Amino acid sequence: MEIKDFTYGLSSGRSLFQSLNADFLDDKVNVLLGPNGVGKTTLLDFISTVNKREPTYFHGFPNFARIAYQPQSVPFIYEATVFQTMKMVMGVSGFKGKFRHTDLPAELKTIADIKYGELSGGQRRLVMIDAISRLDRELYLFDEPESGLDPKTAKQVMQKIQGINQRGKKVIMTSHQFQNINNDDYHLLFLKAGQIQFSGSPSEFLKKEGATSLVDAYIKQDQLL
Amino acid sequence: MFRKLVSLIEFELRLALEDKVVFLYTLMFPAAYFLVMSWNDFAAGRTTSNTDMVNNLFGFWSYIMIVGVLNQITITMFQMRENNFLKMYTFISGDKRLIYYANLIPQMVILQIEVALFDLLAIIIYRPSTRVLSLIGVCWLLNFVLIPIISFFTSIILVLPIKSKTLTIYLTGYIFATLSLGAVYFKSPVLNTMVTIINPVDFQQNTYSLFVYHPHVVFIVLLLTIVGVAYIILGNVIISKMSLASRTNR
Repeated sequence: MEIKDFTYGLSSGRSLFQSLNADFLDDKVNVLLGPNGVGKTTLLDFISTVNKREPTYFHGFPNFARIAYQPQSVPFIYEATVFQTMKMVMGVSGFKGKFRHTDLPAELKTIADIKYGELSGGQRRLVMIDAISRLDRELYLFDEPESGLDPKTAKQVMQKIQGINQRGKKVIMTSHQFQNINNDDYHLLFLKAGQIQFSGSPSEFLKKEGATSLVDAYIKQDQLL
Repeated sequence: MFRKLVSLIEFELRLALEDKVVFLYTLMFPAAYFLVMSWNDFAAGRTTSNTDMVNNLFGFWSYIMIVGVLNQITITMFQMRENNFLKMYTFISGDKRLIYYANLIPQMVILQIEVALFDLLAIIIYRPSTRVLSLIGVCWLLNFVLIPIISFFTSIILVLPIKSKTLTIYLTGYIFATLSLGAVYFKSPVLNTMVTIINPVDFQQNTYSLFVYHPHVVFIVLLLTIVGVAYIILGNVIISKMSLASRTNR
């Protein structure tokens, strides 16, 4: 999957992408990094076809029906319990048979009968990620999936996302967290000033910036421009 | 597709029935106003003719329907887009129209329950003739066709450049305009045709009127059919083409 020479500006006139080129690897979890407001979510909106995706610039991406997309906010119905929500998602995604409490993963069983609105932000995100990861799609898009989660839950979420990629599915996510993307199963793309400034593995990123941690490498890269 | 729709409807209906506040604006308020109005007539010693009964019922049904459709169907879709529900659900189900119909069908059931309860109250108070009673039954059945059409009528709101914070202002104006226009009688067939095309309340009342009396029945059946079909097509096109992206920050 690649984006070639993509230019886009907001209706306010602000230019967001200028001749942007990006390569996404099928066998890695692709992570879009970059400061707030550089257009990471907008780029996901184009990839997912929420915004009109021109085939001139976007190559090799599956069509709408083959994409699962987790938006940044956690949009589920507050009055529904976790079990009701998961049952609905499974029904809509074509699950055959009767969905039962025992079909829930261990981390959701304890909160199965709690209403979505009564869950913490992290628990809501966990439900949503689990729901998304159960869909059978070719490409999965996650917008800051581990944002607001405690380190243990964030790690669970990232393991789930890695598991999707290991099932042979393509994954693109955005992130501001570095503790769980520090091995070479991840392909980093640093977006700033309308272009991808760096793309490669975490170890290549560290080497390029001469840094010992991804946070330092990120700050160095960010300060360059 | 059908299986997906059933899953969504089952989910939406359970939640919709849990939310009792919907019954306040589209059942309790009109019922209370109806009781006050009837009490005033009773206290003044006025009897209600069949024509008055029918006209009153048409007015109440129009209010219940337009407010119910706007609040429970069209605005729900609008809000679902603004808070990313629509984006999320569409990616799960694979089709925006599924989300729309999964919302429309349970809300139609709720609206019909409300109209039925209101009709029951009206029957107790009015003690209508068999003819009016039959009309109430026929009009209730007609609502199964009218509710989706009115919903498609109002789906135009979904493509207008309206932001969340100004939505209620526009809606209040829209409800006032549709009900006011619906209360005006136009002698001119041209004007009557125009308002039937643009105003869902006129469309609804003209449809009910077919079962009472209408001087140009063939013309009005043709007009209502064309307008109804046009709005079904237009509504479906709007829903399938509407943007998933929130307008809040646009």
